[in-house]
Amino acid sequence: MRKIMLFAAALLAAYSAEAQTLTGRDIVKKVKDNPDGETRYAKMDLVLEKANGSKRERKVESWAMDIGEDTKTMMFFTYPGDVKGTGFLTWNYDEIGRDDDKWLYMPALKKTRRISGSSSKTDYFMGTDFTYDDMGDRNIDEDTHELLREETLDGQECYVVESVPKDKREIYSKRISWIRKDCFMGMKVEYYDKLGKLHRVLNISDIKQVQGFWTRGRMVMENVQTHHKTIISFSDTQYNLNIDGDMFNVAKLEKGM
Amino acid sequence: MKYIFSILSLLISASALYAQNGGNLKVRIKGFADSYHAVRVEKPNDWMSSRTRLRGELSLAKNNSELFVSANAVYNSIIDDYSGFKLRELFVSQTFGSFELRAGRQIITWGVADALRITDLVSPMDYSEFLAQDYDDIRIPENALRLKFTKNSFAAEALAVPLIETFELPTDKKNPWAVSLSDNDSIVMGSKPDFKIENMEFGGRLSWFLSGVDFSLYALRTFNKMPVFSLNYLPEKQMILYYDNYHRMTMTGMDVSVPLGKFVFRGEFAEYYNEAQQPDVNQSIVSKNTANALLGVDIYPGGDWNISLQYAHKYICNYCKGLNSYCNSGTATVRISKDLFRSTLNVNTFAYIDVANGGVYDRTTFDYAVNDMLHVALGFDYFNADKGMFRMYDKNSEIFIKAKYSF
Repeated sequence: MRKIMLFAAALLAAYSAEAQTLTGRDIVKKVKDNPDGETRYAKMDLVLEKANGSKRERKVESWAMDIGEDTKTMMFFTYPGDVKGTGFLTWNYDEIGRDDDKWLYMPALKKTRRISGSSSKTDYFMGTDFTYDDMGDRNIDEDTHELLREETLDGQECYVVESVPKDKREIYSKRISWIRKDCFMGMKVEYYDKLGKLHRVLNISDIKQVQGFWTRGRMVMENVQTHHKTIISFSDTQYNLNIDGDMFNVAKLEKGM
Repeated sequence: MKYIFSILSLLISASALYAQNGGNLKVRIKGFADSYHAVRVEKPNDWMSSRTRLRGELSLAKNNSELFVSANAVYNSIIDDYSGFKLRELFVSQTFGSFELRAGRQIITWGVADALRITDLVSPMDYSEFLAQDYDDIRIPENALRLKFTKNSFAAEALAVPLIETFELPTDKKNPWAVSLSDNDSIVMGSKPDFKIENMEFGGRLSWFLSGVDFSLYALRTFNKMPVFSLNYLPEKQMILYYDNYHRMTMTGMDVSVPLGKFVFRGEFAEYYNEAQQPDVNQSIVSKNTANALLGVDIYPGGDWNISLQYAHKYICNYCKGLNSYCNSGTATVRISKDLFRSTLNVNTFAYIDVANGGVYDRTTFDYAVNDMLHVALGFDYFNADKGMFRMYDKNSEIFIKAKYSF
C-alpha cells in the first residue's frame, strides 16, 4: 500500500510539474501531436447558414495519410450535384515557407489542373467560414503561442492559449484557443480581426474516442460580425485504414472514389 | 458504326460485372436539366439558340470493374436535327493492379492548356454553336481503347482509336452559327476516314506529377480532325464547292506546369508532322510541318479572384504561296473570374483574341446559385472581327440566359 501511495504521489508531482512548465507552444504542439493514426478517412457534411436561416450544404469524403511530418490528402465532393465528383489532391508540407502541392480534378472537363499551393490559405473554403488555412495543417511555429490561463469550459478543464501569427499578412491578428487538459483537443477558438475585434468563433463538440483516437464530431464556425456560420459534422471516421500510399496521386484523383 | 464499339463495351462490361462474385455493386447517378436561350443583340434580334436538355450519368462499379454511361436528351427549337437522344460516353474499365484498361466511347483530354488545343488532339470539338457553349459540352467522345499504368507519381497511357470522330461543323443554313457562305456556295461533307486498320489513330503519353512540377511527353498518329476544305470554283455556275479533307499527320509534344507562389505557369509545345493546310480557291491541299507552342499563367491573387492568361503560337515550316493561313499566327486568351457573396455568385469573363487578325470573342457570365441544386446564369457573347476566324460571326453578338438544375 505504501508503495502505491508513493507511486501515486510521484505521478501527481510529475503531472503538476508538467502543468507548471508547459508553455503555450508545448500545449499547441501536444494538440498537433495528438495521435490520429497513420491514415484517416471521414465523411464531412458542411452546412452554410446565413443570418436569415437559409442554408446551403456541401458533402465531402476525405482520405489522408501521414508521411513523416507531411500529410497527403484526397478529397471528393459528393453533394451538391454541380460539384459532385470534383476532387482535390493536396500534399501538405510541414516545412515553413514550402508551398503545398495541389491538384484539382474537374469531372465535367475530364481534366486535372495544377493549382497554386500558397495563394488560397487566407481565402474561405467553398463559401464556408473556414479558410483553407483553417482546414489544413498549420505549422505551429507560424505563430507565437502564450499560455494565458487555465479555466473550465463546459465542465472540462482547459488551457487557454493565445496564438499570434508571425506573418502580418494573415487575415486575423490573434487566436485564443481553449484546449482540453485531459486529451489536448481544442474545444473553442476565437479569431480576432486586424483591428482586434472578435471576428469568428469556432466551437468543437461531440469529442469522443474512435478506435482509441480522440476525434471531433462537430465543428461550428460562426462569423460573429455577419452572423453567418458553417457547421461541419463528421461521420464514419476511421483510422489506420489499409490505404496504399499510391492512392494519393493524380491518376487516382482522375479515377475518382 | 460509331456506336458498335460502345455497345460491345456494354456487353463486355455487363458480363464482367455479372461474373464477379463478392463485392458490393456501387451505383452512382448524377446529371442535370438545363435550358439555354440566346438572342442576337443586332437586328433582326432573332433567336441564336434555344435548347433544353436532360443529361444523365450512371456509373456501376463492382470490385475492379466499372461501367459508365452518359447521355443527353435534347430539344432544340431552332435546329430539329439537334433534338433527340444522344449517347455521349459509354465505356467499361477494368483495373489490374497498376494497370487500367478502358474501352468504349469516352472523352479524352490531354494537355494543360485551357480551351486551346496544342497536344489535346484526341477528342475533337462540336462547333455546332461555335464556341458559344460551355467548354465541357464541346468535346466529342472517341471510341477508344486506353491502357493506363500508374505507379507513384508516374503515369503512362497508350490509346488506340479504330474509327476517329471529326469536328462537328454547323453547315445547316438555318443555324445562326452556320459556316457563312454565299447563297450559291455549298459545303459537301463526307470524306471522314473509313473504318480501316490503316486509319487507326494511336499514340500515348508519359506523365510525371512531382513536387513542384508536372510534365508530360506525347506522341500521336492522327488526322487533322478539323477538316481542311478544297475549294473548287465552278465558273459556269459562279459558285464554290467546299469539300472536306482529312489527312494523316503525326504529333509529338510535351507539356509542363510549375506552381510558383501565387502563380502557376503552364506550357505546351508540339510539332505536327505533315499537317494538312487550308488552301486558297482552286489550289491543292499541301501538308506542312508546323511548330505549335503555348505559354500560360494562372494567377491566384486571393479574395476569390482567379486570372488566367495564355498565348498560343503556330509556325508553318517551309511556308509557300497558295495557303489560306499565315506563316506565323497567334491566339491569346484572357480569363478573369471572381466569386462573390460566399461563392453564390460567380462573375467570369473569357476572351479569345485572334492576334494575327485582330479579332475578339468574349463571353461574360454572371452565374448565381439560387440554392444547392439550381443555378441561373445571364451572359453576353461579344464578337468583333474584320477578318480571321471570328469574322463570320461578327454579327453574332448575343445575350443569353441559362437555368441549370443539377442532381
